[in-house]
This record gives sequence, structure tokens and C-alpha cells, in this order.
Amino acid sequence: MMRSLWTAASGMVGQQFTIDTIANNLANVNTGGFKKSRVDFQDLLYQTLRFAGTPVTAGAEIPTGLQVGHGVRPVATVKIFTQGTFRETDNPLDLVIEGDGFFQILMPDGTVAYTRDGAFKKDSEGRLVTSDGFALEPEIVIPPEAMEVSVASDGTVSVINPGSNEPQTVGQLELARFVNPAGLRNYGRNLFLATAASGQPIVGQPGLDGFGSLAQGFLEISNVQVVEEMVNLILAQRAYDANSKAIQASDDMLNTANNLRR
Amino acid sequence: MIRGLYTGASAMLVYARRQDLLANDLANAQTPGYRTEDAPIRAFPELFIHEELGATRSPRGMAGTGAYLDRSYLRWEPAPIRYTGRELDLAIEGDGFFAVQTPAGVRLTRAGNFVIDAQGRLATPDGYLVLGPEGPVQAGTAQGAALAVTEQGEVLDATTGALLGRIGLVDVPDRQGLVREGSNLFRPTAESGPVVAAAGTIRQGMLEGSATSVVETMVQMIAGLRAYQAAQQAVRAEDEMTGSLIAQIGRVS
Repeated sequence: MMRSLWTAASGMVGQQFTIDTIANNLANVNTGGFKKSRVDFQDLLYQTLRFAGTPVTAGAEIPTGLQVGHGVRPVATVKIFTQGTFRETDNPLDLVIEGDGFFQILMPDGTVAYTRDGAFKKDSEGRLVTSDGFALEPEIVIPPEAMEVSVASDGTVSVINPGSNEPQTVGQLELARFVNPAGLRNYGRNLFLATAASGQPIVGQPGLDGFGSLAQGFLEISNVQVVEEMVNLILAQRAYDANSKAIQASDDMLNTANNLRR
Repeated sequence: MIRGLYTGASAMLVYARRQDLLANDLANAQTPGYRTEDAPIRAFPELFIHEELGATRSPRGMAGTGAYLDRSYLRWEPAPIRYTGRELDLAIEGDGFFAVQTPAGVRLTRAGNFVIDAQGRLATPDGYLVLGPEGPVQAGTAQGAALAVTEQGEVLDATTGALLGRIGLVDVPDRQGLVREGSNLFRPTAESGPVVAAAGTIRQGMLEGSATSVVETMVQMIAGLRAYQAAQQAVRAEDEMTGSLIAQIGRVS
């Protein structure tokens, strides 16, 4: 039948995928450390009905061929690692990374995951953990008697013990970076996993060698811009509409062809 | 009599094929660097009609025999460029293409939505490496620091200013000779001529969109649909006339 039916259908499927991605971005507009995604499209294969350069008569050839495309496909969801907005919380265990880098999280299966979400908590043993209870790597243990926890911009964690005015260092936070952060895999729970495409993690001290520095009492929220997502939503919906009109027009043409013989 | 039947049918085939092209433009309304295609409708050669009167032939005029499509033109009007803020989105202002290394050879693209591979090289979302004058373009610092891309295509480490790699824009003498391969890629051919350096400038944080104008495409689609329906009416009229001819003139009693 007509190619245009399938071509337009691929356009509708593609735009549906965009809307799925936008919906996920909007749903996570207030999620700590969330990074927005964008769908990138590519045109599909072309059928060459007539080749350019085919000789028509002696000494003359067709300057351009005739090619018909077959629609579109989503090729990548690109994660965009711009900085999210900061929100002041005054909670001493809320940390943000100003600049590049990820906190390293030790998963229950022993692997390491990465996150920008610095909303840490203490567990029953005083370890710094995520909201899911996964421990920060390297492990930071806050002694039970400690009164005040402070995290320096270079990742030094110190506490004030009762009866002392001298801060006592209890740990050193480290950050990880990747050559290609866009190659990280979304794991959910605000976590990313390293892949072959992201490259091996480079671990270092905050504030040095291009690693971002830490700030205490703030949280990084998502980098989703509602206005931008809304504009993208309108574009995707209108493109979806236009493709459905193409299907209708193709259908009308088939109907016309069917009515050739009464 | 029957000639008109084929003429009407040729118009229906032409508008069905144009609908295929228009649907592809609409499907790619959001594809970066996409270029639309126009297929002009061409008339079949006209026939000179004679009436034979004994030995003499008396001319009766010209008769068209229908329409066909035999070529499509890529339209190279600039597509809208929008701000994305992503450091690996590069748009070309003016003429030129990015050169991309695929397993089948060098291909050209206007889609600047690049990524960095695990070795720190600039690549398309398919993983094909972007080429510069010195081969693949290094764009990843070991530290993964912010990147700056100058208008001339120099890729710099934004913090230290160190030159990492260079992107070269290319072009061909005759763009109509380029063949579309899908995946936002164009293949240079003998018709297009050899790949040469181009003079366009690069804009970082911007992305070229699709050249599809939804309004124009919809209008063309409506016009095409109506032309298709009109051609169908012509075919039916021919059919009815042939039908009456057989039913009435051919009646014996």
C-alpha cells in the first residue's frame, strides 16, 4: 500500500516517545539530582527510485535522483548534565556539588553507583547513607556523641565532640567524574551506573583537579526547566497531530482509489 | 477515449508518490539537520494528433498524456537554529557540513547533536566519529572539564584554554548530487564532487532543527489530496463514458 501510512506512523511513534520523555522530565521537576533527557531523532532509510547520474541520452544524465524516505526513528535519549538549581535547606547532611562530579554510593551487591543527589541521612550506626539506606563510598561514620557536623568545600568531614572546641576530622569525601557523563545509565532512585560508553570513573578530592567543590546545607534539585518542557510538549503534540493528518490524507487517497470502481 | 484513463491514472500515481515524500517531511519535523525534498511534477511528452482523411493528414492539435515524477531536489534553505545550552550541541551557521567517519566511508551531516565516546572523541549519537582536519576530534579531557567550541571549530578545555582538537566544516561543489542515506547522513557522490573545506561558522549550545515547515507541508498535502481526487473523477468519467459506449452503441436490437 502507500509508504506514507507507515512513514507518518513512524512520526507518530517518535513524537509519542518524545512526550514520554517530557512527561518523565516534568514528573521529576523537584527530584534531587535529576538530570533531564532529550530525544534525538534520525531520518530512516531512503528508497532510491531513480539514481542520480543515470544517462538519459548520449551526453546527458539525470542531475538528481528520486528518493523516498521512510520516516523517522528516535536514536538517543541524551542526558543533559547542566547544573540543577540549588535550594537552601540548612540541614547539615544536605550536600551539593558545585561543578562536576558525582557522589559514589555503595550498592548492596557491592557495585558502586553515582549520584548528584546529596540528601544524605545517618543510619543507626552513624554512617552517611542515601534515602534508600545505601552507604556513601568511602564510608563516613559520624560518632554518636558528635554535636555538630561540618563538611568543608574540599570534602573534609569534621565534628565537634562534647567538651571540646577543636573540630575532629572523621572522614574525607571523594567524588567521581566521567569522560562522557552522558553515557551513564539511569538506574532510577537518583542513581547512575557506569557503562563502557561513560568510561571508567576518575576519583578525586572535591575542589581539586576540576572536581566541583562541596557546599553544606543545600540540595541540588533537577535541571528541568518547566517552560522549556512545555514548549517541547507543544512542539511534540503538534508534530504528532500533523503526522496523524498525513495518515488521514493517505487514507482518503486509498479510499478514493477504492472508489474508482463503483 | 482510453488514453484519458491512463492520463488520469498517471496523475493519481504522481500524487500518491508526492504524499509519500510529504509524509516523510512531516515525520521528520523534529529531526535535527533534516532537509526537505521537493519532487516537481513533469508532463509526459505531448502527442500531436492528426486526423486521417484519405491520403491527407489534417492536424487536430496537441494532446497531453499525463504526468510523472522522475527526480527530487533536496532543498537547502537554512533550517531554524534553536538555543539548547548543551555544550555538545553544535550548529553550523552558513554553508557547510560536519564530516563523519562511518564504516562505509566519510559522510556529511548538518545534525550537530554530538556526544563524547568513552575515549573522549566527538561522535554522533550512532557512535560515528566526527572528523576534523587532523582526523577524529578529541573533545574529552581526562577530567571531563567543560568544553568550549570556537566559531572556527577549535575545541578547547574551558578551564585551562588548552586546545584539544579541531572540527573541520566541509562542503561539496554540487549539493544536489548528495545522496541521503538516512540517519541524518548525506553521501558524497561523483555528481556532488569531492569534499572540500567550507567557510561556515560553528555555534556552540545551539542545534539546527528540521527544515520541514509544517504549514507548507500540510497545504501541499491538502492540494495533493484534492488533485488526487480530481484525477480519480477523471478516471471515473472515462470509465462511465466507455461504459455507455459499450452499453448503448454496442446494442444490437
